[in-house]
Amino acid sequence: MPDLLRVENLRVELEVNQKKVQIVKGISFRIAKGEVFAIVGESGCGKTIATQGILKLFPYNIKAAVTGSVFFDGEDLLKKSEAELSRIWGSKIGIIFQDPINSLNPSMKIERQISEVLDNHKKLPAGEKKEIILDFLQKLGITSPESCLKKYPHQLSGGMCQRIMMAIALICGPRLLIADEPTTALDVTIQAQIVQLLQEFVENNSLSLILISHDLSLLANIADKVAVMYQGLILESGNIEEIINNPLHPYTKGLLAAVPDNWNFPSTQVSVPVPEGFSGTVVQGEGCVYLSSCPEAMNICQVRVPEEIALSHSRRISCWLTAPR
Amino acid sequence: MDVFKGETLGLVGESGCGKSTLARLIVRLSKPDSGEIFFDGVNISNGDKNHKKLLFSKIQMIFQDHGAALNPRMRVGQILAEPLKIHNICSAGEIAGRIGELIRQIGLNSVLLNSYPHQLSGGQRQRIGIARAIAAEPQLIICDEPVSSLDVSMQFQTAALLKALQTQFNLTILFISHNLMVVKQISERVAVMYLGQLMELAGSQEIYSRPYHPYTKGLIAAIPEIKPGTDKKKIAVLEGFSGAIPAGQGCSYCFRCHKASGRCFIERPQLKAISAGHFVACHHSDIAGQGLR
Ligand SMILES: Nc1ncnc2c1ncn2[C@@H]1O[C@H](COP(=O)(O)OP(=O)(O)OP(=O)(O)O)[C@@H](O)[C@H]1O
Ligand SMILES: Nc1ncnc2c1ncn2[C@@H]1O[C@H](COP(=O)(O)OP(=O)(O)OP(=O)(O)O)[C@@H](O)[C@H]1O
Ligand SMILES: [Mg+2]
Ligand SMILES: [Mg+2]
Repeated sequence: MPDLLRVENLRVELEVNQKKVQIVKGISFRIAKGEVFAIVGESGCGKTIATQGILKLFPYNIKAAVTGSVFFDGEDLLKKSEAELSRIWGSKIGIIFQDPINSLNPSMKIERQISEVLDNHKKLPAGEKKEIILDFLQKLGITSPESCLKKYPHQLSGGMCQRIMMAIALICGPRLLIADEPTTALDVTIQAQIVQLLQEFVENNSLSLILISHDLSLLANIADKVAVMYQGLILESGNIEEIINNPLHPYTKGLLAAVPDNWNFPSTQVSVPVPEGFSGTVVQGEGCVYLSSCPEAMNICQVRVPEEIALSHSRRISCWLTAPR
Repeated sequence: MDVFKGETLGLVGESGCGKSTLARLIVRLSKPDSGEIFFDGVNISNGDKNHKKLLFSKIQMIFQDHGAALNPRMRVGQILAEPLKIHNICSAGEIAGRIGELIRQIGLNSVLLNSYPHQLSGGQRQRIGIARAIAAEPQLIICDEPVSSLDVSMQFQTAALLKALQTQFNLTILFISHNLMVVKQISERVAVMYLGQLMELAGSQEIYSRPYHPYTKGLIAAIPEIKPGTDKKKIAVLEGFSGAIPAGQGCSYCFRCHKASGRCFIERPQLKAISAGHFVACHHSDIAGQGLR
């Protein structure tokens, strides 16, 4: 399968209180047509900012500098103007934002929000358009689509807003969907229904999917490949089976071990260990970014950043434990 | 339903079934059409202004919509200082120290105190919402999807923090979540809702090992597992359309229920005990209940 998206050495720098902070520190990956690519990693590691960087689509109040290259269908998105990009957003690339309630327009009824995307990218007679929209909402498990269309976002539940976002992102039949935590407000049965729907899109329309989620069981069910991010870097990536069954990076191992099963709550301890480099505040030194939390750290980890190496056609890792020396 | 003092009651149910609405009713952001809500023996649903003040200091809510719940013009430090000042939790001199402690407790770096909410990641914002709620030292915390944007180890840390506060201050927690595994770990009892109605209520162990209501059974069977490579198509989906509301007074689940029979379509089942502390709203439980007695 040819690549649909190739991201090379993507870096995103944000301005925080007049200081420039590098949030995404050079990540690379490729996604084939019809492939589901997952990104996991602790809260605040840069998953959302990375995908916003791919699209150069940041909230209006953020000043960001993006470098590297993002080849979509052979063309570098980062070299395109905002006008050119806006023709791609919503039609060829659909986006489901992490915060669905706030990403919808609060003062516009749902019907108009969905039909607006259709109008922007496709010309359809009104009757047919409504039909398509209603059919889509039904597939997303929305109870009474007719009445839902007449509502404003604040009149919907969290999970309904999430599904409206999904409708807006998918209704034009994009080639790539970027879904940032798309199922957090859905119960397990609707989640299963949505996952099936996404899989249909992936298989029938060879949709490619970038899926960001903390829900490992969701990823195990739907993803083909996974990249494990930590403080703005991809530490390990590969096929989902390989990573889940045989994690090599100590961070990945820790992430997978933390399944909610038999939690024993300590009765007194109430502090959470703070990761040192949180929020990209620590100037990156010589060593590995995971050094301070790594249970298997060695001397070399303190003095040199491990380079990314390929272990197989699909698997890559940045860790001295696995690096040939 | 009751929430007992010092317990964690998990509330689960279909998306759109009314969990957040129930939470909003308790903190009086919405008004009930009928019915009453008692807090510590006091009827708080009759619109008395004095009650509002009282509640404001004793009940805190962590909103599902954490993005909108934080004032975009305030820095994180100011957001956390506010409840400390309003509720006179500590003297002016102690505020900075207390804020530092709070931000450490939720696992964030204190440099974020200078950030505005839009400069935080989804999970960071969610944790600020949690810190703000616990800062007010309430007696009841209503958590509406408090850990949905957190990774599993952070979910654990947050749950551990809530549990520790519970043992320390006899805090009562109403914990709304779609994450059934987390609910199982954190709750003493679990309530299951469907289309605005309570379907089942029982001890956490009991409901996960012996679910009675067909909806609860479906929900628990649909908990996904972390097993890649197994048949990707085989994900449990409940049959029928969700939320097909029966026209008359029938059971709200009857159109999806494989057990539904004549009575289910015309009469709404009431919540009844099928064993000590295990309540179910299902006509079929009558038979089971009789068997027990
Ligand atoms: N507008 C901004 N200005 C400055 N810093 C920001 C801004 N937005 C995000 N950050 C910082 O960038 C880092 C990465 O944020 P990002 O939202 O990408 O995290 P994430 O991996 O998506 O986390 P989560 O799982 O919690 O959503 C965070 O530490 C955050 O504090
Ligand atoms: N302000 C409002 N006006 C009209 N209808 C509303 C309003 N707020 C909520 N609703 C409706 O009430 C129902 C219950 O919503 P609620 O937000 O309580 O659901 P929920 O159980 O919290 O769902 P989720 O798990 O998706 O967050 C939904 O059908 C929603 O559309
Ligand atoms: Mg994010
Ligand atoms: Mg809700």
